[in-house]
Amino acid sequence: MPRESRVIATLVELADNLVDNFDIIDLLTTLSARCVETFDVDAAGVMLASPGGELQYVASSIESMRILELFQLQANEGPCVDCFRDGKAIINHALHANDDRWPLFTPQALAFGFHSVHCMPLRLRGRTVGALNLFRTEEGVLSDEDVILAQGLADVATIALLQHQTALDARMLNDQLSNALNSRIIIEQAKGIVGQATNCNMDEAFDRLRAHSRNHNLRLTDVARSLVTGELSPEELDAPRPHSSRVETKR
Amino acid sequence: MPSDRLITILHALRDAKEHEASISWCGVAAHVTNLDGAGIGLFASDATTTLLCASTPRVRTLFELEATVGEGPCHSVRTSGDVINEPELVADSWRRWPSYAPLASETGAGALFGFPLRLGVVHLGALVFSRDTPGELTGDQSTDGHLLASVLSRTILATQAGAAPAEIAHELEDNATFDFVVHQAAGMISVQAGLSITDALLLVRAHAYTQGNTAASIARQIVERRLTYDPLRAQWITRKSDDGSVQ
Repeated sequence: MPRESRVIATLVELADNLVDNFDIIDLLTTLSARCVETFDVDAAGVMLASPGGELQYVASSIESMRILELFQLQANEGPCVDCFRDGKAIINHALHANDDRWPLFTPQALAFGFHSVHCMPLRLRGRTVGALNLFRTEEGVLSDEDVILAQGLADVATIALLQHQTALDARMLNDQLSNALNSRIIIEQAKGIVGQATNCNMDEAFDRLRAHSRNHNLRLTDVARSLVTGELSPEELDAPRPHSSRVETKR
Repeated sequence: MPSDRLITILHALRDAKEHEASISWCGVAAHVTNLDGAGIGLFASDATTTLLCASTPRVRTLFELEATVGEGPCHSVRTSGDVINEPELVADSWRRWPSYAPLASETGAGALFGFPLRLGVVHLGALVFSRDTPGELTGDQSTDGHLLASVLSRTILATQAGAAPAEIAHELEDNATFDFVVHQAAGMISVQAGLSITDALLLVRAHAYTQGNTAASIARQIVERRLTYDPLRAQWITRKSDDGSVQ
């Protein structure tokens, strides 16, 4: 698909997801996956700020343990923290072993094979609520056009946090952020259950949860919750189609 | 990175006297949010709620009323798993709490707010705030309510898992955010041991404390399948990485 068509398809898909009862983790996972497909990056992920202002990992294009750890590390330092704190994008930051800007993050990212990072703030009417992080295995630049597009996609996804409100109400936004972060914990608990019961690793477990949620038109968090409470057994989950769960659109 | 606000709250909780720590938590919660009262209800598995602490006699009465009529902020937090806002106790809350609202209002409470004490599907209890006058929480009060709920959830879980107060304080300051691998491990142990997610999470935490290790480190061994739990023998089993033999 030509790039422009892909970007339009992504915007339509994100907007299409902003229906009643959408799942914020699912939406941000879609955003991360589309960033990898659309831009010249190898991994993408989203961190959201808790009501108190601590960044926490919520979604990524790959659910591997290494990527998750790279995000978890950024609760304390890294491009997401700087981007969130300053409310400004970090673009084309090359990672070097002797760079001491992020003494914990940089060596870890290099060890995982990443050589440059970008980070865009997730903004809602002047309040920064998180950050979109893009990783490249090669050093290289994101074009100005790519930066605008990536920020645009991030902004569309962020609107989801406002739900049906037209104004930004700090109290409602706190409740939303808190629910989003708790959803992520529910998904992790469910991944453990699926991983143990069906003998698969954690990213496969996530794919199974997501495939089941899509096939049955259920919210990802609701599928995860039913598994943890025992209303749904891991054996009843649909198997993910090979390589399909992050690429296909809803329906 | 812990925000300034979180550090303030952690210090206030740490300074709470150790022998009456849980009582002081509610005092700290009311003080930090500048609200008239705070109470913590813990959810038991039999659907009852136990009062852990109340900052004032009125809050204690509010919890007693709730136990008597079977509705109120704790029950609503428990059934919805969500934040509960009743900014105008009498005018707004009749429909939600037909029996409780007029009685609660008679005690002099004008507004009630409930925050879930939760870690994913694990619902430990509710942090309830009361204010004499009606009105919504401010943005800062809501932020502090969420922060307190998050910190108290982890503190209560750690306490139930047998950790000493000093260990808990250290852990909270060291790792302000949630550790996803701990929750994956709890999911795995719940299947291995046939336990609820709450009991599985407690088991993982308790094992970390008895081993003098961090919960994240124990959890990583579980997720990498180097550590398993045998429910029949009530034993943790460490598996050597390559030859599959059991230690």
